This record gives sequence, C-alpha cells and structure tokens, in this order.
Amino acid sequence: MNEALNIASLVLVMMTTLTILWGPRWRWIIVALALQYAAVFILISQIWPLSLAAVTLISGWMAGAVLGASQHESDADRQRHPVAGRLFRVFGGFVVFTIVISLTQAPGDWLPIEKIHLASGLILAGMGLFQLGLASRPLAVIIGLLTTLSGFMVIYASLVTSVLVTGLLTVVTLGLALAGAYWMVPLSEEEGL
Amino acid sequence: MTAAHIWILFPVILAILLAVLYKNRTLVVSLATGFCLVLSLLAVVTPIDASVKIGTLSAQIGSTLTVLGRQFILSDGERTYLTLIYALGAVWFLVGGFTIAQRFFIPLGLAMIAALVAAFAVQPFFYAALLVETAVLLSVPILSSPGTGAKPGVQRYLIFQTLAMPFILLAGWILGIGEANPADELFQTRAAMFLGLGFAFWLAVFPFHSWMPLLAREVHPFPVGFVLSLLPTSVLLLALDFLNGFGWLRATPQLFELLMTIGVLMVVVGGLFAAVQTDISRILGYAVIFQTGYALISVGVNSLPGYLVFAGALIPGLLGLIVFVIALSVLANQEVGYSFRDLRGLLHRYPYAAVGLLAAFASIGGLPLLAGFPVRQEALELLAGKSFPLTVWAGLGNVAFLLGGARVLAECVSAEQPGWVVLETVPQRVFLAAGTLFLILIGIFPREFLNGISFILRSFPMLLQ
Repeated sequence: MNEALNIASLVLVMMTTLTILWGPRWRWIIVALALQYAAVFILISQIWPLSLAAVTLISGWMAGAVLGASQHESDADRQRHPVAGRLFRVFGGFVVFTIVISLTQAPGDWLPIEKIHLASGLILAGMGLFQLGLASRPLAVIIGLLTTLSGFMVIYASLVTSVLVTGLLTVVTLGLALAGAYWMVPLSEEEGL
Repeated sequence: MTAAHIWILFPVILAILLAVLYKNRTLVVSLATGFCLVLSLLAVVTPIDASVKIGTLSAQIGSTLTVLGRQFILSDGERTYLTLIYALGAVWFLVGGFTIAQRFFIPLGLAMIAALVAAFAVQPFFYAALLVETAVLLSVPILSSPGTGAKPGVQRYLIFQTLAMPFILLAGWILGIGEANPADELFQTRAAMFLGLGFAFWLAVFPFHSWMPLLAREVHPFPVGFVLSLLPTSVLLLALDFLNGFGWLRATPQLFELLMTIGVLMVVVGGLFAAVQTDISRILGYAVIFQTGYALISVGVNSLPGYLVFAGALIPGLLGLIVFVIALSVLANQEVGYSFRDLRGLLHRYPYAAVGLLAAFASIGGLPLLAGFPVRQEALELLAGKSFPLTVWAGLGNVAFLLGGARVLAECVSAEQPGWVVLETVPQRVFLAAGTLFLILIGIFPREFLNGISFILRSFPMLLQ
C-alpha cells in the first residue's frame, strides 16, 4: 500500500513539476503547486506524525492561495513563452529526471533514506533549481523556490523530526509566498490595504 | 525573565507596534532608536545569569529560553554582540528617519535584527539557517518599494540567500552524526562541503556574488546598506559560532587554508571590479565583498591575533559602510545620479557627501590615518606569515580597490563650475561630518576605539584556546 502511494506520489511530483515548467496559465500553475504539496504530504506523512505532515500541506496550500490571490489575468498571461521555449523547458525537465534517476540508482550512503523519497526530493529540488535558472518573473521565481524547498523538505523529513523545524519551514514557505505577492500586487491595491 | 525575552521577544513586539504606528514617523523613529539604544546599553551594564541589585531589589536575567524543545541561549559572553547589533540598529534607524521615507523600513528592520539575534542564540545552532532565512524574508519589503515589482537584483538576492538554508541544515545533520563518529573523515568532508556551500551563498562568495552589485544598483542605497551591514556581519559571527562548536572543524587545517584562499579571492574580485566600475552604487556592493574577503582572511589565519583582527575590523567596516551609504543616499535623494559623469565636480556642490564618500572608500581600502588602516595592515601581516603568494594577491586586490577610490576622487574634484555651494541638508551634513570624523579618529587612536569590540570573542571561547 505504502509503496503504491509512494510511486503515485513520485509520478505526481514528476507531472506537476513538468506542468509548472511548461508554464500554462497561472491558474494551472497554482493547481499544479497544490497537487505538488499533496504529493509532498503523502511522502512526509509516512515518516512524520500525520499532524506534523499536515502542517506542510496546509502551509503549501496557503502559499498557493496567497500567490493565486495576487495574480492578475492580463499581467500573468501576457508574457507566456512560445511553444519552442516550452518544449525546451520540458526537455530540460526530462534531463533533470534522468540525472536524478541515475543518481538514486548509484550505490552510496550519502543520505540514509528510502530511494523513492530521495528520488522525489531530488526531482523537486532539481526541477526547482532548473525553474529558477530560467525564471525572470516573480511568480516563476517564487514557485521555483517553493519547489526546491519542497524537495529539501522531503529529504530532510527522512533525517530529522522536529516541531521547531516544521514551524520555521512553514514560516519560510508562507514568507516566500507573501514576498511574491508583495512583488506582484500593484501600488494602487497595496495602498488600499 | 530571560535574555531572549529582552533582546528577541520585546523587539519583535515593538516592531509589530511600530508597524501599526507607521503614520507617525517621528514617533516611530524616536521609539525605535531609543529602544535600540536602551537594549544596547542594557547589554553593556547588565550581567546575564548573575544577580543584579537595585536598592533592596534583586533580579536576575536568565540565559536560556526553551521553545518547542529547542533552546535560545544568550549568555554573558554574547553581551558585546548584543551591544554591537542594537547600537548598529540605533544608528541606522536614526539616520533612516532623515534619509528615506519607506514606511515599513524601521518595523521590518527591527524584526530583522531580532531574527538575527535569535539565529545567534538558537541551539542546536544549525537551526540558525531558518532564522536567517526569516530575516532575509523580512528584508524583501525593505529592498523593494511597494508597487515597483521585483527587480532582478532583489530576486537573485532572495534566491541565493534561500538556497543557503538547505545546505546549512543538511550540514547540521551531518555534523551531529559526525560528532558521534569523530574518526569518520567521510562525514567531515561532506559536512564541510555543505557548510562551505551554505556560507558561500550567504556571504556572496565568488561566483555567487552577482546579486550584490546588482542590488546596490537597483535599490536606494540606504536599505541596501542596512541589509548588507547586518547580514554579512551576522553570518560571519555565525560562522565563528560553528567553528567554536565543532572541535574537528577547528582541527582541520585545510579548512582554514580554504578560508584564506576564498578571502583573498573575494578581496581580488571586490577590488578589481570596484576599480573598473563607472557607477558608484555598484561599488557599494563590491566594497561589501571586499570587506567580507578580509574578514575571511582574518578567520583563516586561525590564531588569536587573527580573531582579534576580525573583531577589530567590525567597527571600522560598519562605520565605513554607513558613511558610504549616507553619502550615496544624498546623491539618490537629490537625484544627482550614480554614474562617474554625475560625480564630476561633486566636491563643489556636495562637499560633505564627496568628502564622506572618499573617506569611507579610503577607510575600507585601508589607507593610512583612517579607521580601516590598522586592521587591514594587521590582516595582511598575518596573511604574509602564512602564505606570501596569497599576500601578494590580496595586496593587488587592495591596490585595485584604492585605484577605484582614486578614480572617484578625480571625478569629484574636477571643477566644471567655479565657486562652491553646499546643497546637503543640515541633518545630512551632521551625519556625514560625524561619520567622517569618527573614521579619522579611529584611524589615529585605534586602540582607544577598537579594544572594547574584542570582547565579542568571548562568545567563542574554544577559538581562543
């Protein structure tokens, strides 16, 4: 049962990160982010107590909600990339998958965690970094950072269980989303707050 | 009552209060400056974990606060650090009251200081990574004016600072395991690698330095100066805390050689890039890289004199940066511009800003009779005792930095218009004159001004053995 869930989570992680890289309309990006946090929750809940893992899910979804609330249809969709650029991104994503899979197959004792957790964590971190390398808009930067941190959380959860770390990582996740929202809200609305 | 309540919790509460009161600017500036001064003085006069008698009353400030199973410890040895960081806050908030009109600068700045103090206090100390990240997140609104969007420099700053956090946390986990297996060199190598990467991101070590000049170019110099004075200083002190905490790290000579080499690399990069810039605001970023390089050299020497130079360089470095930033803020507020063309004849129009700028530049570069000279000279002397080639490179970087200063001087004194006018406001003149005067006084009487700061090393007793 657990193995099936893990594999489903890994597939979900791969699909959501590719969706974010493809760069559809912002609504789809936020939905993909929410699903990504669901996958992270499934992975972490097998290691941490359910209540602690749920904090990660809730903070991730709240971050998505904050980012979604700060979007403007016209602004976010105006600068969409051409198809060739998107295909390049997806191709780059597959390169990241290949690297991660080869890394997790190699024997090593760097991190004593389950292979599926390691693979999921590294895919998230790798895709987040790839996204950051290509990003120029605030939404893409923040999503890239959140994805990278999600990957780190999956790996770190297998190593350390700490309420304080969970709390502070939640603060960081929400802080990143708020920073992104701060950048994206126009002056007139900000003044009205 | 614990020290963490006084120096972490109360500032956070005040920061929230100040955010509510933001419309009354004078009150906010006065409260923040006064509060920081009080906290700074309190750190000077009040012992921690010892009884204090006031008349018939006796009180004691405890050192340890436990939160969610983790401890925040501010012991008696940390008092100099607390004095320094809150005095720094007082200076920035006071000058900021006359320099920038950003409404949340002071509340967020105060919260940022509290987060950095918490990072210094938390045990196990690798949790500091999360608190430093909190401070970085608090600095984002300071560095981006509302409604102006995200400029590339701020975005890159957030990315690099955030990427440091996972590396430090993973290093902390490996260090914990390494302590149980002190003979396992593999763990030590991995921990050192993760730690190195984390600190490289935090300190903008080459090649992760690109955000610093970019940020300095894009944003008003005052908030940039505030962030660049607080973060690298706090991170460097955290690095010393790491070294202090792990015996095997201190017993690894290669680590200190690496620190020296990276330090020299930063001095060379900072110096050379500062020498060829045509935009004075970008030089601010390179000046911070240059100073961080010297700090790493002092630590890399790994001896008591080296650590004393590190501590001694804190005040000249911070003061040089503050004067530099005030001078740049004058140019920003009067819309003079930052290019060298804009600086032409600056001395005849803005004499205080021009003199302050040049004095700060020369002090950071270590020109004799200015505050930076004694510590730069001592650092180079100590480096020469370890490696002659590295000393030559550091010297070249230093000369290049000073050449950049000479270029600024040439532009400032070139007279395009006859006669003199003084266009700075009175507060700007006062701050610039006082800052420049202190740069000179510290340069002439270094012992009198710099001896006290060496007590900051009491936070790191293992390094002094």
